[in-house]
Amino acid sequence: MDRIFNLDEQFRLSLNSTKDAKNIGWLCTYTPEEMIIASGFNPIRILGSKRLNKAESYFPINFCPYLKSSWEALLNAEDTLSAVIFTNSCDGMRRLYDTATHYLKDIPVYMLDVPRNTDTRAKNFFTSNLKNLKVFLESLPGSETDTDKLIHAIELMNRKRVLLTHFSRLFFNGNTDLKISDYYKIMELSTSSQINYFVSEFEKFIDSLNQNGNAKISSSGKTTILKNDNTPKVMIIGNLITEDKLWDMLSSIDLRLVSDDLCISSRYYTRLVDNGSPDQTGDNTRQDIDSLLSALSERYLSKPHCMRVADMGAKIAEIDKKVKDDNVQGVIFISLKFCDTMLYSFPLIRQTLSKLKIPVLYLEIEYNNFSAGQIKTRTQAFLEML
Amino acid sequence: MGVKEKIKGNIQRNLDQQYIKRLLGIIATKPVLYAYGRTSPSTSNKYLNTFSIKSLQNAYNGKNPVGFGSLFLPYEFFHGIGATPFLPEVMAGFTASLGLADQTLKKAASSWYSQDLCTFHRSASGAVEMDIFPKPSFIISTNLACDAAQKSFYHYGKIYGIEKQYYLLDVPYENNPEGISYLTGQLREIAENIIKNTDSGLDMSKFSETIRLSNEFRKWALKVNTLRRKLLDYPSYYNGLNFILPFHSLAGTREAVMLYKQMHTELKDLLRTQQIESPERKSYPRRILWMHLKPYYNNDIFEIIEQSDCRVAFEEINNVYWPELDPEKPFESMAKKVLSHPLSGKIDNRIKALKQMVLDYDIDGAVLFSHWGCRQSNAGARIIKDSLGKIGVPVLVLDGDCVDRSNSSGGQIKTRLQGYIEILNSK
Repeated sequence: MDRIFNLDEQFRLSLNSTKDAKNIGWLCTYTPEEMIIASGFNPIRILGSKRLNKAESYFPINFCPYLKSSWEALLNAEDTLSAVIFTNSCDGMRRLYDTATHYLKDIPVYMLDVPRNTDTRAKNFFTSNLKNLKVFLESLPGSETDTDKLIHAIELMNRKRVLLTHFSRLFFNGNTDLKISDYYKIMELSTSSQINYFVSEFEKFIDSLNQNGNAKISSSGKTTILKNDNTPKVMIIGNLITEDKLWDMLSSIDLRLVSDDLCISSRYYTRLVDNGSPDQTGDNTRQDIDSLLSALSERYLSKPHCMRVADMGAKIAEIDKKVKDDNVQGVIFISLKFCDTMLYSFPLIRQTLSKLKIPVLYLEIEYNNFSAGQIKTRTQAFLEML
Repeated sequence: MGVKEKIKGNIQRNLDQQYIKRLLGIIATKPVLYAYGRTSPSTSNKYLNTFSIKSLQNAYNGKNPVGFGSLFLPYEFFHGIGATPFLPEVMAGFTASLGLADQTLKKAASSWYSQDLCTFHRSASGAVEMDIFPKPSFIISTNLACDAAQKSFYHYGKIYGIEKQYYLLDVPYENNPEGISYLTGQLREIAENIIKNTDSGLDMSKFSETIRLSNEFRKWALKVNTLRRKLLDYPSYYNGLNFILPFHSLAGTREAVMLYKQMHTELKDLLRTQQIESPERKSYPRRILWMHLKPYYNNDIFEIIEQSDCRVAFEEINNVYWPELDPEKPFESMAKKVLSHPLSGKIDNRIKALKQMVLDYDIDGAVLFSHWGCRQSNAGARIIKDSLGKIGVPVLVLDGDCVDRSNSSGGQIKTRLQGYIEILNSK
């Protein structure tokens, strides 16, 4: 069966959904979109500008290219964003926030303090920080939030996560004919469109995959892999990778992507918020704001960790499990240049994979400035080794 | 060839832990320290060098549990529980001054540490991979001021097989009651865990005395800093950026009190002399505020400054930023100390501190040494430049590398510095 994926066609409404919406920008997956939705705004992930013009003069050369690109986007976005929420994910993000407070005069900005520890003390601390975020959101013109809205927002985001998880399982198990570039385009869109439109179109899209594809999802949620070939099974580990040319390049070569650990995908959608709603617990206990915020804190600090997490042992264990569960044969480690969090993690990850006898390819890329030829050659050589 | 150069050469040729341990064992003996001290140009300089050597020797001799710590921890913590601190980042500075950095950086490169990363942490990481440092019983790092400290120190834990004794002091963004509480709880828990898991006689009995000594050290450091507001010149051996080790890791010890008390005495005499001479001075040097750190290998940056009739009047790293500690509440006090650091949280904290230094030290110009890979500092350069510019202080952002000489262009630094000084002198 030949079916050509057409994002413009299948996600027509989603693609244009943010133009007239009241948008609040966010950058890091530790930002609770539920709270943005509950306050009457649309959360939209800032993915940066393709070209840098003004942003270069604000930051040094050896600075995160994603953040520079995001700054360019913010400088051009003053009319389209009602606010921006930053997190203290890394040194670069802190400085981007500082730059925004000093030079971005007309957009309210907020720094959400996200702990690096994930124990009970940290979760309680994060809950108190979410209360402060709520105060900020309620201070914005046109904002109004209440418990019911937050419950609804949580349900909506959980629904999106369920769909993304299901879709990813189909994709990584080889049960679709989508290319790697198609997959990541959808992942990007899931973070940068109006959620109602996206969820609606995504549900239809997944239905179409299920109907037209050659695998069914069983009631246990497991898929039967119908494709059986010797193509190397590869996992990608990285940070915020949204480089179209990279995905196009990987789509053009002979590899099977079976797993990933990226903040544009699995670190974004994995794990639901357990808000004790009737859907999940079966009873009708109404939640108050405090317990809902606590549930958000639990989810966000328990989701698959970013490399900024204190307990790298836990992160390594996550990667170890994925490698084994997904039968990974090789790992492509892709980092944006100048990302301390990723680059300092690499020696440890490499060591771990070496003990598992999993070869790893190390790639550092710029944002929106990609040398396809060179990277393709290296990747092909790596795959041949596998 | 002098003794220092001979020792340097020997270390370069025998770069291993056992050799360093033996060497320190010899150098740190009383007769040798005494003889070495006699070569010092001043008593405070003698204290600086001998206390630094002793603290290293304490770490290497294996008699007391050693804890690795990142720079901006409250070192009262280590002394309070009776552990010996060892600071890999500061040691990285020593690798530069001893000509060892090319070896440690090479090792780091072969261990897959990217060249984009800060050379303090890369050199320290290389040294850990080469097993040059004493083996720690525990490791504490913090996300203040940078991600590198957190990430690299965890890896050290893995290399030494003590990753379960790695602790991150997760510093919150805001200095408010919730943040203080969060940090206090962590400090207490870390102390309890270290004591329980180290099994080497560590306990909390020394906290009271440590806090008392820390407050005493703070008092003398403040007095020294107050004197420096009026000092026009410094002796040639004096460089405020050489005091990182005692200012941080000796906080809470008698040695820190002795050093700063002595420094106060000497600078007070110097000030008295300058005040007597000042009516005869034809000109006063331009006063520079130095931000961040300096190259720790041989360089002529400060010679260029002095020859151009400018002086580094004060260094950001020597700012006493924390309130007095409460001996009844050691953990809460240490939490407040950490959260008071100007590099914590938003850049406005740093700018506020810098502006105060500009006023206190009558600053004419400021230099931000833009160390390669230090994104927490360098990415704020424009804001710092614009903010100090608004109060009439021109800022020079000087690109370079504190540890890797090959990554720093001496000629370019000289040219830019001279150009900047011309601007200052023409004001």
